[in-house]
Amino acid sequence: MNDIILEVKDLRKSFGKQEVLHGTSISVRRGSIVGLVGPNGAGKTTIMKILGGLVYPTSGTISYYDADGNSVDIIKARRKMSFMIETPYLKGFANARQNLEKQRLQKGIADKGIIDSVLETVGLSGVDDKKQVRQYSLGMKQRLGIANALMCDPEMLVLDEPVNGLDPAGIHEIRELLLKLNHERGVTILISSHILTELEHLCTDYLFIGSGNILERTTAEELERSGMGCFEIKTTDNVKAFEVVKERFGERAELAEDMIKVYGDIPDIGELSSELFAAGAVPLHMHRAESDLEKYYLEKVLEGGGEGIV
Amino acid sequence: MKKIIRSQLYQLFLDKAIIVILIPWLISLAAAIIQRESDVSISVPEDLPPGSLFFVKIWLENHSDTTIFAFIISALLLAKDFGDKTINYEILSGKTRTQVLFSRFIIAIVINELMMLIQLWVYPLTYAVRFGWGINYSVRDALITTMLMIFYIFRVTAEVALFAVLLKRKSFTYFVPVILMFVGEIIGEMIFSELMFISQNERYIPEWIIRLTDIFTMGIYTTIIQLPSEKIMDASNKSFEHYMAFDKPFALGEEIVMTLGVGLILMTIAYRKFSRKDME
Repeated sequence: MNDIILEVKDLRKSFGKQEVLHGTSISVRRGSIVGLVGPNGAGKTTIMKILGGLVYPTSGTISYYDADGNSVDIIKARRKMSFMIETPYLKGFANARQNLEKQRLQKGIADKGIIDSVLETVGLSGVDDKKQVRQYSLGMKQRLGIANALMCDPEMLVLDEPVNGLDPAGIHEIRELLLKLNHERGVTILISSHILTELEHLCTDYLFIGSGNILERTTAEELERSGMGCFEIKTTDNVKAFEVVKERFGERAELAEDMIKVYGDIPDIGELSSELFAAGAVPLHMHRAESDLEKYYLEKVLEGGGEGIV
Repeated sequence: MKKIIRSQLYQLFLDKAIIVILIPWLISLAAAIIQRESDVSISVPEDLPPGSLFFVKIWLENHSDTTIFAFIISALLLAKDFGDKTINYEILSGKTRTQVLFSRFIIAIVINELMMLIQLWVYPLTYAVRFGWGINYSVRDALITTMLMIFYIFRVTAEVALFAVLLKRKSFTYFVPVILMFVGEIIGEMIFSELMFISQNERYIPEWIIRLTDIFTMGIYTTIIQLPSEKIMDASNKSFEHYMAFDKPFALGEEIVMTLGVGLILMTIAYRKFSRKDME
């Protein structure tokens, strides 16, 4: 089984005389959650629209699963995927159930129970059927869009700003839902969002895009290594403390100038404190460093100015 | 394509816009019937109007309504999903653009043809049962008229399909084809009058130029209702004098080919545009 389920090579797209994608190449591994990070107008939505078949590329190749080149195979491969691009496309005069029923018929899904199931999943099962979608808040529409995307039990989800308009609780729910889909069903996810902290909680891989170019490709692990998501520990004796930490976390531990850094999560901080204390290194400061994704984004994308394709 | 058609029919059932369109259609149909009923009430028993007379009357008075409703129904089915972008979901979910466009086109054609048949035949048939068919118009001629209208409705639907694909503001799709229909009628009549004037000055006008005016107008359909089908199908005596006398003989096959041809050309342009179009 091919581990790369989506591969885009040298993708170019022009609208009139303006080229918005300048030879973009990306690949997505099966089971990963890839965050597409970039400023407005960088080409994120255009890439997603090209993947979905809404927009034709000027040149370049796309392959899904094992399908490439032949447009019929590409179209068929899209049936294993679900997309939510920009705002969800919904019928305002119908209610949530009716919108999903239309999609069920269109996709030829035999199981009518799928509608209740996806409404339950996105937390819309309690909404009155008399309420038309045009009366929904933006957040509710987003949830319904996600419900729509889940209808065909997809192997891959392509989501453009899926938490746009959601309140913090809603964002949390959608994140948990996406993580659950990824962990339990192995759904691969390509997601774009302006909320970088949200991506941090979700993504295994990042694609930084600026001015139609992929500027950087990195994994969450590499990003952590570069300073993101590390624990900073200061004790009365950092050398002694480092021995304890090194034994416990191995390569994830690093002795810096005046502190110890542990990349990634520390599952039981209390236990570590006790061990440090027992070793004679009294903990003075144990703190999870703030996200560096934003800093990374600013460095790579905005200051990079669209230069330096990786 | 079957799945999209099922989904479209479900959507049509939910959309109250269809009711908004059907109400004036039913009113216009009822108005014609009420009008005819009053004709009956003033008729002496031996002169009761037969079905054939009402076929002619209903056709002459209502064929513009049939066309306008066909335009609006087609716009509802073809353009609305472009407007709210729900058409995008079908492409995203792995349907080909051919399936997406032609499934809508098929529904629009079927509904328009059904509406046309109801409008054209329900009342004349009712009268035919009550008072017989009569001599005003032969059943054969009525069937030929109906057949020509079937092709004409195809052309109308293809025209809307083209506008649905071309126009960025989808609401315009409801009005532009109707406006163009009237403009076409005016242009066609103007050209025809001009040709008559030229002919009166004894200058030769190629036959095909005269025939082109029929592309714009429904004149040919008005003519057919006024002539027996034998004459309609006898294209041997075509001459400009006949046109001048508003006695336009024409070959039935030629007329079908012309209507169907225009419809197919419009549909082909619509399809080519849609299959290459970047969706918003």
